[in-house]
Amino acid sequence: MKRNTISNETIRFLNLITAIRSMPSVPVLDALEEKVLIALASKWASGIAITVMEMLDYFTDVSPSTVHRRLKTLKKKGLIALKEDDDDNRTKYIQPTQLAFNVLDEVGKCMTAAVKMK
Amino acid sequence: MNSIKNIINNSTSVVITSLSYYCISVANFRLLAFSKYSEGIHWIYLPSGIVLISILLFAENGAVGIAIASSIITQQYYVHDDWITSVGNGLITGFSPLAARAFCISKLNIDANLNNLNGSSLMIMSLLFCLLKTCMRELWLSLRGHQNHAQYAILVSVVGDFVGALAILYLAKIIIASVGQFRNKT
Repeated sequence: MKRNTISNETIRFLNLITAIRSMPSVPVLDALEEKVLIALASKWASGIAITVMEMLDYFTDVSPSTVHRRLKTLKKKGLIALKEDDDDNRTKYIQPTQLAFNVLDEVGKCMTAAVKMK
Repeated sequence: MNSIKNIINNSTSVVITSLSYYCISVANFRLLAFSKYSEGIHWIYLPSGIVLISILLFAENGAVGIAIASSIITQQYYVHDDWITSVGNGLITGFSPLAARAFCISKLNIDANLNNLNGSSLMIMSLLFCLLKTCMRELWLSLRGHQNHAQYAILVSVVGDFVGALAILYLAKIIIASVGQFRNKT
């Protein structure tokens, strides 16, 4: 019977990639992108489906066009995806991607670590 | 059958390492000629990044590959007609990072398969690789009468190796991120 084995080189390669990915780098998100993402996260956590139009009017201190630009950059960075409504294709729902979950998970871990330190 | 397969695998990693080190070295001499400080010393030395990755991935096979390519490069570009110096320099370039790897594995809580390796330990490793290699290389070259008389030669060599290693690692990081984004799109 043929046995499937993973070579040591493959394990090292995967570990090396993980290490390279965790190397320090410049912040991926600017302050406003973070603000938009956190607002979205609170909606997703409550199980509320939020549309692009609703998000544009969400912030009182940021203009809708600025929010729209940040939504576009968040989409470009792979943190959100837009899904058209089944009945009305003009309505687009903002959905989290796996990358967004990873980012929010990291933030959660940092917060837990900070609370433990305190 | 297994032993033949092992020989082929080992030879492949030696050849890949040798070729990539040789090509990146030649590219460094030609494309980054402006970064030359003195004979054999550059402010940016990209092959050190290849050394780091090869030694981490292929260990002894990587060291052999680097030693072969580095001997040829030394003979071609620095010490013509002195094979003993070239081979010695090649062996130091290939095997001193292997010693640094073993040291890091024992001291940084990383195992031979690089479990627990992270960004910080990778940077510590690359600095240690550069320090050990440069010190041993300069010692060997002075013993063989090819000492570099330029002021700060050792310092610039360590800086050049470290900058080169970081450049390669960050290039890899960009490529990995781009591949991830491309896969997300498709």
